[in-house]
Amino acid sequence: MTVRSIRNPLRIAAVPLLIVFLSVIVACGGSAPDPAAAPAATDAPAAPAQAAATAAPEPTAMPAMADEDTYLHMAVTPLPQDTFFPWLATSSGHLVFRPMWENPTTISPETGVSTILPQLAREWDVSPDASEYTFYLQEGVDMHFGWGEFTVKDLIFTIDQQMSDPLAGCKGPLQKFMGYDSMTEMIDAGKAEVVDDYTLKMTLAQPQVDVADWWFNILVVPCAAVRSSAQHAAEGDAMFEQGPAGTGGYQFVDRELKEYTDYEAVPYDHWRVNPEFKRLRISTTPEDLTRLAMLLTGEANMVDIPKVLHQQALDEGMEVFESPLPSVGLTIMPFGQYELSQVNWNPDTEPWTAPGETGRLVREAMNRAINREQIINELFKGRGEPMYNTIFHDTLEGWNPRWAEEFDEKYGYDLERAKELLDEAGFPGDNGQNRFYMEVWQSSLPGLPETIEVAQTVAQSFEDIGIDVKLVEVEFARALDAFRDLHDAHFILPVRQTIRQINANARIYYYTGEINPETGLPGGGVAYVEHQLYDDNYEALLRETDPTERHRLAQEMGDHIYDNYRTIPIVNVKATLVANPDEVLEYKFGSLTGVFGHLEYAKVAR
Amino acid sequence: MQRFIIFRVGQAIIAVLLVSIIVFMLSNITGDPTSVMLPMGEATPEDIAALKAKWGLDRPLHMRYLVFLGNAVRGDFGESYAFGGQTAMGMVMDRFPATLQLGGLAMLIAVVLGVPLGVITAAKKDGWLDYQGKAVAFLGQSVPSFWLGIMLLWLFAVQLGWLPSSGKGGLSHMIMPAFTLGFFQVAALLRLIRSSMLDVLDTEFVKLARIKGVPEWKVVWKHCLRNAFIAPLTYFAIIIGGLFTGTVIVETVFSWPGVGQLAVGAVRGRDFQVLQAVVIIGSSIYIFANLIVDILYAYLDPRIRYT
Repeated sequence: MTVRSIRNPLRIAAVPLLIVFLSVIVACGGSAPDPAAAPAATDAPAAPAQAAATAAPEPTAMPAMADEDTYLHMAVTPLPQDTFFPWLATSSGHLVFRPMWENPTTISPETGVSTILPQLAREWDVSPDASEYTFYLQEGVDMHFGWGEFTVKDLIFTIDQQMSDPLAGCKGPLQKFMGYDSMTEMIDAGKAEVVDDYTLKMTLAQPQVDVADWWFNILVVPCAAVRSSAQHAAEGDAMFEQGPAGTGGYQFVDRELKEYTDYEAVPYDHWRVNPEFKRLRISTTPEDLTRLAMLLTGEANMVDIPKVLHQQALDEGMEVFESPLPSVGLTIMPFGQYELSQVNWNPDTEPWTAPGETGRLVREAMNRAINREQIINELFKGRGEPMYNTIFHDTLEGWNPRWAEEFDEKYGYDLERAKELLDEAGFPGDNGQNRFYMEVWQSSLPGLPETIEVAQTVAQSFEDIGIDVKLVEVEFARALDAFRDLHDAHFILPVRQTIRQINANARIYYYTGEINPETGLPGGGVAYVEHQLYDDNYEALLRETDPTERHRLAQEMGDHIYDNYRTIPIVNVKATLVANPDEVLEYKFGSLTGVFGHLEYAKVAR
Repeated sequence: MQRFIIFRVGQAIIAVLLVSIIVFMLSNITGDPTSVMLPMGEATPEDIAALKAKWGLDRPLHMRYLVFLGNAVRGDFGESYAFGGQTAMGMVMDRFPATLQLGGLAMLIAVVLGVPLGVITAAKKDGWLDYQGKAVAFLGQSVPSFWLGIMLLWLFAVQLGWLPSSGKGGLSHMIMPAFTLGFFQVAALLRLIRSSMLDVLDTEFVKLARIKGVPEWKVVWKHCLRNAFIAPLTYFAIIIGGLFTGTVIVETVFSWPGVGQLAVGAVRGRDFQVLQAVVIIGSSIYIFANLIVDILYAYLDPRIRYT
């Protein structure tokens, strides 16, 4: 073999080495700003001339709220959609906006969605038929960076902007009950009136009982998280990248998409709450163990990690903060119960969708095959409570205590009874095996990583009673395709159920609505399970303002769902954050949704 | 030589085109991005239809591909679906320097550790150093990078507190992710150099040099290494590709804001535009690196041109 001697091969090798060297030099030069290393510079833009003309109140002396070095660094999983533009963000995508913006209304940290509290709207009147609203707004609330005082103009601008893009979350529903494509159009048409700078009257195109409770609340994909109209007039959409002004306790400092957002406490006495932590960073870190490491190394002082890692953090002296109420639930939807629209409805091959007693017996059997206690203890490490009825909770209207009292008797784990029920329903199979075929889909969901294990447990449970189960791993988006485009979901899928007002969840889970004559598809929400009673009661709930009647309507729907085993409710889970108790004394979740939106209430460990 | 270069450039262009077809088709058959873009339960069928029209998703797949290809040639991969107002190309380019820094340091680690270890293990064949080197090679090629990354993170950040656990910062932030990324390549280079060195050490001119009394270190490090370097040189193109694709895992573990992390987010969010930009740019780099090495190799060894 002839080996060719290269005259100077090391010279060639030196080229990649040189590239490497230069890369390292560049790397050493650039680094992300670390607000922990030095106090954040207050480089807020100078108030423009027009803002000055609005006579922004003179900033008061720094209240005794925040030591200069108090720094809250919260690390969370990446947001589903990271954007500078609030109208494009989902509810959880709004996490990074929430410290700086406020909504007309909010909810109680203690009692959740059942107690609606005023925020930028100090009060509101609703006509008995829920078609006329008058909002009275707070006075003397400053916009950040000297952009003047918050007025009704800012609320109108916010709603208009929210409705300006087909991607915006609440565009469709707002259009439906407002009757127009924007608040400005509504005003021009005489259906809304700006009474004065702090009063807005609206006459809706259709009754809508939950405008203040839901659509103007912090909970929903925030349709009304108020930003500055004056700033937008001066800067356009660029304001969202440069430093959007709001009215919250924190004001914007800096942001890198998919990395971090930095805030600082407002340099004046805030009208509602003066944050104890002077500086705030929300960073997104995809790996659970890395977030735990960030906490243990002191790089972050509050993190969102799965419950299976809690013990490790506790062993190292960290503390788990838990929301007072469940933030999220896990329920299993036996899809395909499309008996109302009858679109792709196959009761013969999918017996859990069968009408009448057959379907009810099959669904009861499926419910009884599941050992909920084991799921809560093993998969959720005991940090959960049983869910008795999907979308219902004892803090919400429509709750029936009977559901909890009778749960063991009606839904309790009993394999033998489950097998008898399937026999009774006419599915004896071959000696108790291969009774019928079904697919269980498993998909990871943000905020509830345990869904995968739950799907696997459920699949095994169904096999235990002789159902021929195929476990299918899918992206959640594929399941969404099935719900949305084809109305063709014929599988069992554990889904995350955010606890919201009954109106909101009834629309998503049970409202079929009119069938589109062109597509043949239902025009309502996602409609996991269909029934005429649910449609009727949901529509009545939209109009009804009397609490007693509302409770009756909601409970009637809940009773029907519960007694007919329309779903397989599993567990309600409290939101948790793990923090370093030497630095963070307390955190109020302030929201039943598990979306950590009340960081201004975090308390410094002194 | 000219014909060889033209032939290889043509092959590279065809390869990039094939990649573009595969990436476009695969990303589109995974489903419809409007499913994850629009809020569940709140978007009406009209909203969905309007959005599909806006993004051109209502047109036939082959038409969309042709439009995509025409724009991609100009470096326009469209606007990100998930990151409102950001262009896909801009997002990749924003994050590319971070990935380049990480890949650069990883390559440095691979060369600085892999080459000397390869030479030493060959020179000390069957000695304890050779066994240690083989162990390093074995571990480097078998240990998954996510596991190695987490172990390093746990040891050096949490237990010892020597290095920061994550994020982008100075050199200290790069050490663990770069080592994790480069460790596989250390092992690969070590094995290649060792094998190549063993061949060269057995040649007549090396024996002659020894007989002539040339010091052993000079025989090994000067005469042998020069000749043993040609095969590993080819491997540099593969290293570059490996470093680029390897960042997907390493950047996720260490929360390094580079192209790899961007790609993961794009897959999860069905952000086709960004995903296509990442894969096509990554593939082009890989193909280009291979092209350069092939040409270089042909230049160094004329026999290549005629085969």
